[in-house]
Amino acid sequence: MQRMRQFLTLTRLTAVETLRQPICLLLAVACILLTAATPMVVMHKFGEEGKLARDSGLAFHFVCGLLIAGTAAGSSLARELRKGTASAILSKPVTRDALFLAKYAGIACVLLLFSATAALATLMCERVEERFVSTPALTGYVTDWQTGNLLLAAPVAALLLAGLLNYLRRGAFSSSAFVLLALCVAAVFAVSGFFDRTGRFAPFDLRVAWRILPAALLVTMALLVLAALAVALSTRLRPGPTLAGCGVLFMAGLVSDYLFGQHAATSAAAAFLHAALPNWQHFWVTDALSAGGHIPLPYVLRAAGYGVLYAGGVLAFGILSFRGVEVQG
Amino acid sequence: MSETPAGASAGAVVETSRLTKVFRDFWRRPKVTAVDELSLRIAPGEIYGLLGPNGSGKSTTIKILLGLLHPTAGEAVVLGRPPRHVAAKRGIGYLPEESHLYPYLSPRETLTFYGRLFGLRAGIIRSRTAELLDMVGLAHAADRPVGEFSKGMMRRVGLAQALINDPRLVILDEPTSGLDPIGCRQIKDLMLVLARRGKTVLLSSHLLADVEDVCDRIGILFNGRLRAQGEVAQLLEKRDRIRFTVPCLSTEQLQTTLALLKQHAGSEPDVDHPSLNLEQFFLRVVREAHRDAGSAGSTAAGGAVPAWLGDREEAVS
Amino acid sequence: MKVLAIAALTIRDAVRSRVLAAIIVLLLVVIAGVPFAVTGDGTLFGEMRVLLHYTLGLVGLLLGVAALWTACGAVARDIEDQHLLLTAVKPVSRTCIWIGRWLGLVALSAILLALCGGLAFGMVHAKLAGGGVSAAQRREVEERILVGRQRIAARPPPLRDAVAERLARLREQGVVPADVPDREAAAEIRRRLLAAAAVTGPGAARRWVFDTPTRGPRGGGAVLRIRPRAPTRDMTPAAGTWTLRSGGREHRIRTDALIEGEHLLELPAAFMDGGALTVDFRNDSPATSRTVLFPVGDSAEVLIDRTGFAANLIRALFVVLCRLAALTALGLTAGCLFSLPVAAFAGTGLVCGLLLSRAFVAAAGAGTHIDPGHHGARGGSGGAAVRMMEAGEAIARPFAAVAASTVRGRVLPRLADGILLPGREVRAAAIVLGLLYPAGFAAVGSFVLRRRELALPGGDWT
Repeated sequence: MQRMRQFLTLTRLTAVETLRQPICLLLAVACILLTAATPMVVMHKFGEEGKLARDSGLAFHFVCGLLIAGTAAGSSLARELRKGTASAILSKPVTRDALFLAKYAGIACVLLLFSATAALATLMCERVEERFVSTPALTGYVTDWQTGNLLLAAPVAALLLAGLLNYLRRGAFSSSAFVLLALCVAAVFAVSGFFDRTGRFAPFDLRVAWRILPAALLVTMALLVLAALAVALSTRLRPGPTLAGCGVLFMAGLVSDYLFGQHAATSAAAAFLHAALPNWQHFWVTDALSAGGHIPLPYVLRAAGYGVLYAGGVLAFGILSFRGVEVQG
Repeated sequence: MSETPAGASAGAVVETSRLTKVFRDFWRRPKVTAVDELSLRIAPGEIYGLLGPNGSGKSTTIKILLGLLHPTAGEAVVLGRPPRHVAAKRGIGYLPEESHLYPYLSPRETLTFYGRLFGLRAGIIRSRTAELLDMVGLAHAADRPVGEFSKGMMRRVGLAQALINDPRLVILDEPTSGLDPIGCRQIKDLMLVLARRGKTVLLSSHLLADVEDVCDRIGILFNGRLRAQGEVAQLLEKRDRIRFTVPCLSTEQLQTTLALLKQHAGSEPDVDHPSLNLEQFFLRVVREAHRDAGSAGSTAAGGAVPAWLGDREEAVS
Repeated sequence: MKVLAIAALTIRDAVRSRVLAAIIVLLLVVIAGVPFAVTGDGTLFGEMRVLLHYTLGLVGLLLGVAALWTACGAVARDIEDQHLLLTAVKPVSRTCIWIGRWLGLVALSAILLALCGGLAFGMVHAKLAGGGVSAAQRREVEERILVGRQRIAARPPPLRDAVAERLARLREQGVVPADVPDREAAAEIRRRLLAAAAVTGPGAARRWVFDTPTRGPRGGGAVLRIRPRAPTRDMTPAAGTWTLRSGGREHRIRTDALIEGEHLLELPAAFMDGGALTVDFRNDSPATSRTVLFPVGDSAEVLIDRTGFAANLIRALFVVLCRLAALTALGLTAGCLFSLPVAAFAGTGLVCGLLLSRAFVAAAGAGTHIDPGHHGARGGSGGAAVRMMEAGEAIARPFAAVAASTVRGRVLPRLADGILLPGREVRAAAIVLGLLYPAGFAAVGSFVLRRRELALPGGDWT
């Protein structure tokens, strides 16, 4: 029980520490703004209605999440080890394993909050993208400007509210704004259900493509795996190299099938690298949504299993690495 | 920019007039008043101690004098110029509270780098570096990265870099922090030597024993305000009491003296043996141990204060 | 001397903190890996182009990101870790500190760029000298890539009067509605006229006029490079006659197998006389030829040998270095303002914005960024979107102008094509990217450093 309390305390500390970093807020705001603006600015459809909004929303979700994970891990564990504040915690009856896992859990909590926000934004931006409508009253391409404008306004509202909180109650701006961003996007999501594509009041219907949700879930899993890699790297590397390492692993994992997979049958080294590197293609299956397709639940579960096992392995290596680190006082 | 801003007293090395520093939040609302209408004057050649509990504004005052912080109100003049004037810094040596040295540079490289920032010639930098490292007892570790040093060793490097330019004004912020008693004594002796050679020393500390040993004048800050200021001896003197220190007397002589004193003073006088303070005792024990063993610890015994640390202007390249 | 001391400190920092080593390893992986992963069309010519275009391009991209992010950290970390306190209390101005850091980082970029350029140069010659390379392949590479050829584009066709006349006629006829702005209608008419000009059917002719330079070609001479395109997938070659005229001289060249791709026609040296060179192509009759397309732009250009590959490579790397210098200056100034992560975010965002602004303004000019004909675009919330787009366009224009001054055409593709980077372009890069922009950033950065309170508790300068 005491260990669980310790773990939760450290997790909460890490989450708060991560949320208070301005860069995490900036990345989250940038993700939502870019996701919202894309279907309103770019008219090219890539051959199918909704594809641009879907793919770009999920891509922004992935990239911004990667940067949040890398920065959070670097600034959390790596900096504490370098500056010696980790010693203050480890001098208490707290095991290194618990501290390491709590760091990961804290960052994972922030990523889950971010992912939920980004997923809602992606669902809405897919709705915003223009559709060909044919009704007795109207025939032609219609963009849901109202939802798009509300979604663009959500980050602004969150920042203003956080500013107000900071002024009145001296609360930390960044963490308040991050949480308020999630709430504002969720509020816009709910409110948009009361309006149709042309902005007229209509019976409640969210009118979103729920089949995108499994794709967003898979991206979230990928981010959790990335976070595990980032935290493991941060036991040995400084913040900058941690982020760079995450970037390299991200790129390598994206092209793993092309670079190593095709040679895996004939080369042991290629087979090893193909297996060892995280294969992000398992989590990036947006093409399956083309032409009205769905991502089947069994696939999501298998990908989740891969993610859990891979992240678990990485965390195990991370724990071993952390046990050997000399903590400066 | 004028050499001597209006209001500055001639000859003062440091002078502040109603200096105020208020830290504000993002909305410009005052959070903390760190320095509150501080007016002080430090004359050339004196050792001035700035005392106060934690958070009293000592370090803030020093950082304003160094141009690292901007005052909210009031004026400060250092060596005849505003603190942010680049030329004012030629004559200042500063040892911050935390060493803030580049961890990947060795002490020799550190001193060389800062010496070059003062525009010193290469030959002068080389000779001064060697002498300063010898003075602080780090000649044996001159080429090791500072990042591998203990806190005390870093402080010694910090002290050396503060003197590389033969400054007229030496500002030391908690100089004995992290040093062993021998190191503390060496710092204090150094300050006395510097003052004898005409330099002005501004010492900020909350360790009263250190300040009492070396300072000519002190100022005591509390909540940013100067609560007391004056010469140490005068401030600490108990004018309603007299103390005699004499060689040991025989019992009979002692009785006679006590009776006479009681007769004149009207009360029983206190009698005891004067004692060493703990620092003096410690140093005596360590000196004897050194003599017996002839060994050195992680920090070698420091060398002499270099002769060039005197009261003269240094030509720079 | 103080500036050099800080520059030396910066280099030492990069070396001892192993940042330099990490970047070198990454660059070596790219230089070795890209040619392995991307083989082009399998020919030696293709491999060389991949090495020079994609490999060096990726190197430039990595160095750009590294320069920007390292620069962001150079001052930001110093402020955060409070190392800058000890420097700031010395008699060295904030401008000196900024310039010292910038010089050190640019020197590092120059070293890395020289290393990569040298490796690329070595790999090119190693491939040429290697076994299994035929004489024809070697000659092709030496003549088309390992050279520095000045490119002379044809005079643009005079379309302004034709566009104006056609627009007036179409308005008169009511073909162009009154609510379509002149700018958009004229742009569409111009596109159609250019498309029509590109078509050279059987029996038809096409003319180009080149203004040749006065300085004669170095040794190797001059060629006319033509890039015809087939209008359909039909690969039947076209045939025709090229007539060259200059200063009373005339020369004819017959081409019987004009297929889609690139062709080189030798130009007599006498025609490079500083005057106008007229090139006429007459397509053969329908019985022996077919329609061929020569899009207006780069379908025909005169290439004149000027320098060797090494000189051109140095020019290209120098322009890349100037860009890195500008990026470094941007990163340093951002680091003076913000913490490292925020500065890196702001710097990267600004660079991406600059690069995208040109595309956005181009789309706005073409009217493709928002179509007023789409329902909901005007009035109601869609009207607000239109105003937002117009405001966005107004904001993007100055950014696009800045971007245009920094990226005057792609450097590495021209190197891979054997095209000389003109001296004026290299000089412009040095002045604008290497001096003007850094000077501007230096002024802002040192102003910020002077105003900033370096010793604030927690490092927060607000």
